[in-house]
Amino acid sequence: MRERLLSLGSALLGLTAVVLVILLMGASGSTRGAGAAADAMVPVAARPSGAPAGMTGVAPPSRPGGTPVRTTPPVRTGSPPQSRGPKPFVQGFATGTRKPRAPVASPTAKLTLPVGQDGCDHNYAGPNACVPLTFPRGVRDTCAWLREHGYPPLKVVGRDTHRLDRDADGLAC
Amino acid sequence: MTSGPTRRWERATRRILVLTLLITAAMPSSAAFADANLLVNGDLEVVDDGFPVCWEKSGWGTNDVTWALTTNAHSGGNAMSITVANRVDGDRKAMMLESPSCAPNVTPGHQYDLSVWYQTTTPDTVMTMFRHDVANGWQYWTDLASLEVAGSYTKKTVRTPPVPPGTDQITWGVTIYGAGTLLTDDYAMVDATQPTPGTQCSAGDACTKGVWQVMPFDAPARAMHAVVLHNGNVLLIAGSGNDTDLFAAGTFKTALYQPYSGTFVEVPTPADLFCAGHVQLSDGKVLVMGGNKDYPSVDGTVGYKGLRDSYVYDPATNSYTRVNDMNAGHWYPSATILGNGDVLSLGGLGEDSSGTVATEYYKASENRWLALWEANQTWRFWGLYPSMILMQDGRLFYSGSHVFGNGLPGTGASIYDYATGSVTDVPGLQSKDERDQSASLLLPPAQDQRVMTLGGGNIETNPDANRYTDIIDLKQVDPTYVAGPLLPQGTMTGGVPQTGAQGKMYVSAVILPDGKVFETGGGLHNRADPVYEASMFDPATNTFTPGMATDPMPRTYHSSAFLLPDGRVMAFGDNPGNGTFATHVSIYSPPYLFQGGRPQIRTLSSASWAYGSTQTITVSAPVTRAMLIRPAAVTHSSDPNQRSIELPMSVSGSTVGLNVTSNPNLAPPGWYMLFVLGANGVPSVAKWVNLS
Repeated sequence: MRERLLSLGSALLGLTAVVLVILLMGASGSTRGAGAAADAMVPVAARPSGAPAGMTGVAPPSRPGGTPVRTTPPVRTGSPPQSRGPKPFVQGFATGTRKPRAPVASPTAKLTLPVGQDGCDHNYAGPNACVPLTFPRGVRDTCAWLREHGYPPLKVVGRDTHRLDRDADGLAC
Repeated sequence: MTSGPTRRWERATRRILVLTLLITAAMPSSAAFADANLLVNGDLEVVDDGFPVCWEKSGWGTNDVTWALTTNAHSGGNAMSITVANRVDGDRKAMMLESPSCAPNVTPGHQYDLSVWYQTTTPDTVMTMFRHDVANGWQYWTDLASLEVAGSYTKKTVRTPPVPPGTDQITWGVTIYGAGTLLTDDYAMVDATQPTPGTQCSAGDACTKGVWQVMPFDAPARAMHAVVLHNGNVLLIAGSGNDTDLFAAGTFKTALYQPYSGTFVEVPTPADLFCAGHVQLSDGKVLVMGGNKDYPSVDGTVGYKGLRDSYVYDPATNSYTRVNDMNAGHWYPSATILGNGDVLSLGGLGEDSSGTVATEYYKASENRWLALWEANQTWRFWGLYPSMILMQDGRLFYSGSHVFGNGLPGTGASIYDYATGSVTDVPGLQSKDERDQSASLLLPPAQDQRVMTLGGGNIETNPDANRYTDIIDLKQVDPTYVAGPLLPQGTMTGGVPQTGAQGKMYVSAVILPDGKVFETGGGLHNRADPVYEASMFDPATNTFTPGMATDPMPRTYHSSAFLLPDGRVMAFGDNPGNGTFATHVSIYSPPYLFQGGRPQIRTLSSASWAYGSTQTITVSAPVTRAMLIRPAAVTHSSDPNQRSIELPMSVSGSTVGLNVTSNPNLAPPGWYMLFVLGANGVPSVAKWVNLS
């Protein structure tokens, strides 16, 4: 009995929902105007395109006005099916309003850069070794750091910028 | 002409029908049949206000459009017609309404077969999807498949990729972006989720962490450049290998590694290609540009000098052939292949060690570098190994990832348009002067147009390398980097755990065929202090899974890692400041290789693929995804051309149609590794296909 009542209640609830939605849809239809019946057989004019919808780049949904209607089957071109593949489909992404950087004039001189582009202090030379331009923060004993990291003997070939040649024999550490 | 009462009755009938559809669609999925059409009014028969209920007109751009309902239907009395004329740009499409009652509900991780009956006079069409993110609202998801020209009703069915986390609804439709008429009817959407087999792993830790193997041989060269060739071999280029004695002796090396036999073949090397740039051309040959003209002078007053030389390596002959010189020397140049198969190269040091500002353009059809005046010049200095990533519209994204020292002036990242010469900064990159030898990659799939930059340091100021990651969505109107999750931490030499803000430079990030990114290797300081850490990044959730197996070998300066065609990852190189060079090769087997049988690509209708086509394969087991992954051309842990392109599938049993993007900027022409991913999450071994 309880199940039957529940079942009846569910049915009534469903019926109420149906009636409510029908009423709501009817209201909606009235608002849109009953004249725009689907079978009105009115030709559709070509609509000028809209703006790029804020250029969201996400193929923004356009909701142009006008009266879309049923029409006769579209006129075919009569030409045979095209054999080419599709053109590249490119989205309109990342086309905001940020200003580009100012152009750079044609150079009149070469662009000189610091020598230590590789992060190595070339005042010191060992077989392919690279003494860092700057030792890691917290390194107090630079010679100990070089030893711990397996560096080979190093010659001082320029300025002893890291003061590794304490006894001035031309060799680091 | 119909009478008033009859029309009212028809409208009332239609509304009841729509209501029934809505209620059906809202029913719990457990009550629905697996093949139930999840769409409301997919047959377009219910019309209100002159347009199918639950559908809307959409599109943008400069074009003339005519919308109509037509009785030339596949079934019933209605089909939708869109005619585009005088198109300058933009597109038009009829989409399902982005509303709770009309847009079909979906379950994250599920896949759906979308089908539509259509006729079209133009091939310039594509099925497009949007998704509703519960946190961020409606947004573009992806494009699925082009529709061939058809003069009679033809059905197209495409399976979605797995629905991303956080998605509760999708909408979709067919876009027309060329002059012509498109008719569509009888849309359907059914849940096509493959049952996930239970785990079958009995490999212990390897089940979740994967496992590394250090190969029992060394590479015969101090290589810091690697290119995966379409014959499955790996080209390892060393030149002088950062060894002044070898340079003085004129000993320049290249080795061809043959993974299936574990053997090496020496390749005569015509110049010091140490620190050159390289990229694969559309025919599978490798274009190499620049390199090392000279090391710094003994007295330390003059720095490295760059070569103007350029060569093409041919896998068929295993040899280099010289092409014309570039306009200037380039030590550490970028190399990015464009959608038309040409190559742009920027930055580096010139023949006199000055900064090279020439934009170099390689015209593939003429096998030559253009003269300075033939290429569009910006006269900008892009630094060394600037990471230039091709965007879907043909522009380049400079990610801010580079080698040596500070980032470029400004925000440190920008969008560069070769056609116009414009450079527009994008904001948000954290600590842009400490992204020296960070990693950057176009996250998979390429269609998502998101770039991630990981870690980095600064060889001049030598701070602890950082843990930053930054992610930028290049689909946004004004893309901005957003901070991503911090890099997981690992251990230093002796097992000492990293602490605080300690991260990594020289990081490698490798796209895997399951859609994830394997992050491995790196060090804490300039050419010192390796960090033993590896993690798995999931682009779908923007999260790292830390604690993956770590390469037993240090991988700092002059190291890289890349994907092999069998789904494993190879790592090589390490050149610490003490001047030594590790020539060990390590190979990583990801966890997916321990989860059960691998699906096989049994047949391939063709190995030559066209853009916008549908290619047919047969497979040995149910598959959930298919993708093209561009073979690596990597140095200094950076490969700006690395990308994985989703291939939406049209599935009919073991026969699978693979729908190829129509946009070459998403997948520049060339050879690719085709993978399919089994329902058990295990990828196939790759088949090679050439896209052109």
